[in-house]
Amino acid sequence: MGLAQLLASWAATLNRLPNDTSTTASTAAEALGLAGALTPRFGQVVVPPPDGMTEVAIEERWAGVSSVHAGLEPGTLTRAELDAVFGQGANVPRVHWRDPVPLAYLVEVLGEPCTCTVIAYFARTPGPDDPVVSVLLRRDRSSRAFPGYHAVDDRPVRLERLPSGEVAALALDLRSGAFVRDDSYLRRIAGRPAGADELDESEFDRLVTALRRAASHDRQVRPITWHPDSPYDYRAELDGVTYLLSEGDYPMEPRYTLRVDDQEVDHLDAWPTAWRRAESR
Amino acid sequence: MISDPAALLYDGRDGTRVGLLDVIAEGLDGTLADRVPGLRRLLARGEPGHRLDACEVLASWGDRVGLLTVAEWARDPGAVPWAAAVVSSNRFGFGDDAFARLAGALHSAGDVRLSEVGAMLRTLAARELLVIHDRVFLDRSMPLLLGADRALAAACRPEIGWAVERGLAAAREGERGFDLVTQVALLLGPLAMLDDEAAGAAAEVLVAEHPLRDRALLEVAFAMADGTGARTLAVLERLAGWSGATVRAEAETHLRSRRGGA
Repeated sequence: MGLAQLLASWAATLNRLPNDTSTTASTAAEALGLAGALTPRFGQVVVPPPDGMTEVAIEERWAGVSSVHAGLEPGTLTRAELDAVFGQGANVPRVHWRDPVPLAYLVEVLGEPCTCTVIAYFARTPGPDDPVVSVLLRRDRSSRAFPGYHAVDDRPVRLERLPSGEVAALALDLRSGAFVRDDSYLRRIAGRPAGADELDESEFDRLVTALRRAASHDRQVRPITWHPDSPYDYRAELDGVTYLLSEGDYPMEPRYTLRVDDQEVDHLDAWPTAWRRAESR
Repeated sequence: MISDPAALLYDGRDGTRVGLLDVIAEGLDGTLADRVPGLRRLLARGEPGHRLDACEVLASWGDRVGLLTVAEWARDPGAVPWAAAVVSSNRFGFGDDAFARLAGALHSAGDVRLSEVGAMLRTLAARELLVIHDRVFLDRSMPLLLGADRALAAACRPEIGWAVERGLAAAREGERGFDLVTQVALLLGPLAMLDDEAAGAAAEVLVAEHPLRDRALLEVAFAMADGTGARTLAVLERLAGWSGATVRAEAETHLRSRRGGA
């Protein structure tokens, strides 16, 4: 395993560890696969480094382990290798012009208690082949709240934490207006990349409402045959999706409510002229 | 990050003041994308004139929030930020031209690579503008938009027809503060592209009910040139025999074109 992959593995591990005082330097070192004696040093705990590193120091704060610092052997890791594993790094301000030049990579796994920012330090503004001098893996409490609301390439995606604890991504199907589970969006949202906007609930609802209205229009002009499903319901298949149309107590309720998988996706106050009812009940 | 509204809206890439339209043009290739967050904030919280300008920029660039806002504002024109006081006026005195500008933004967005959601929102916005076509000044912005995008026009076919019908009905009721009859006549062009029969029938009604409106009749003649069938051709033939010389000349030109002449 190369150093970049090792650091990625460490970041993922640090994300999983509980964000409380149970995550000590000792438990973190064990989780990171670091063996050997732990030596206290000015608020840090130094552990024997793996190959390619000169030093590893783990820092504890009031909520457990806050960071892991690793010094690197010269020439063992380049910016290009980091970019290949972590993606595009972000420039980070440095306090003094003589300080090492930092580049930050956010590592996030949705649903984990923490995020990890991998900050790589360079002797100068790094090109692809410039060597990393040292790395700081900084743990932060995850700020993700659930449900979470996103627009990924403008498509509404809702993140939910299921009773099992896992995080699910529900993406709006643009044709039906229903939310469909698609966990491929978890990777596309983690790390807050460009193209994945975080929205508040009202912004999200606005977008979903508009897209459902657009889908409704497209559906109403299509010749759909509805089959009786019960005294007040009709059923139809369209583009592989099963729709249930229910008659409401109009005008107190919408005349018709359209559902997909128990989700209300449309309300109609008139029967579209392009639709027809199959033979009577 | 720019936080000054005027700089966001009116300054070019190099920081010189170039005006809104030039900023829109410069940003169509995405090179002003760093302004999008600031423009979205301005759209949400700025003063009414800036909100309209920000919406026009964002919608022109195919931004989701800009396109969504155009659709929402068109759906409820009484609730727009400038409802209490006009912030953008037509230079010929027809009053509030905000929606005409936003229709123009949808037109610009047609030249941008849109996301699937962006394309849906653009279509939705166009439909919503057609729903209010008989109530707000849009001038030729909708026929320009629909004429340049045949697929969009086809997607809006029902709304185009309704806009023409409602516009003719509204014109019978009285003046609107802008030339609604001509605005309806302009919309006959996109309708003619899609439904020759409907366009010709509507044109006949317009000609019969407004025989003295030369400006509108000129636009009817121009619109009938986009037809391909007998109904629109008949309208052109009728106008080619019109008593008014300018209308007659316009119709004759388009009639020759339809018949394959010079």
